[in-house]
Amino acid sequence: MPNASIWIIRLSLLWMLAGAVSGAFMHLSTGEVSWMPGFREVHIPAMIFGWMLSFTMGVAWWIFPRVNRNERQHDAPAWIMLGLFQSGLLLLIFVPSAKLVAHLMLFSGCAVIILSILKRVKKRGHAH
Amino acid sequence: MPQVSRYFIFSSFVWLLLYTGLPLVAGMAESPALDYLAAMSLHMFTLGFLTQMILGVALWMFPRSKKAMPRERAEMLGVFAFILLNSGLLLRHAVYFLAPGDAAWQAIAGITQFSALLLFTAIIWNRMQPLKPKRAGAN
Repeated sequence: MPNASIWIIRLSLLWMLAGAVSGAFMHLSTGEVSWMPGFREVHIPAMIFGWMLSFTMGVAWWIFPRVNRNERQHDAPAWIMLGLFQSGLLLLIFVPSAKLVAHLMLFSGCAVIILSILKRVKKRGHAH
Repeated sequence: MPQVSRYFIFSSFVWLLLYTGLPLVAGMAESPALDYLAAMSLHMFTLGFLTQMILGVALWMFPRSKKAMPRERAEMLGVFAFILLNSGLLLRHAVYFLAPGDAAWQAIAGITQFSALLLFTAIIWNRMQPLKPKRAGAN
């Protein structure tokens, strides 16, 4: 499995756990801690972007066929996606005023990975 | 396909049928059913269907490595995770009817689900290993 996929998938598992904890305690939270985001503000982005989308992207990057064998180690788009996604998520959760920038980063992360995986979606039997 | 994957995938189909089928029933019923759907249906889809499908397929497809947990132990913990996850989901639904608004019971359901996901993470973590460098001259 490519290193980038390992990192993307492992981080997605950590987001899944963070999302599950915040979901469990969402109903119990009574007071507000000024510097901390609320459980609901963590739960939804962590589960949607951090867990499901990231995991899917990580697996897709690993499992889709490579266009040519030498491309095997060129994981730059996946690393860029990882950086954009993680930064975007942290911004979305901890800096509510930067919501637009955060969504722009998440969108760019998706765009980078989609554009580089697109050429790997091939017809059966089509080989280079 | 490992037995535990089959459990997860079969269960995910059941939750998907419930998620897609309940609105049909709710359409014929009064507003309490609609309230129930609004409150519970998202988790039926995201956790019941999507997440369980992902877990089932991951436990089946991810490569096994020497560093990974022994197969028998992984299978046993996987079954335990399956039971915990579905118990947590069912408990959430039971709480809705039996103790509506009871935050403590909702948290218990959430912690049960979290425990299932923690077990899954422990099983799958070391099954992801880097690519081995290619030997010189190998095709």
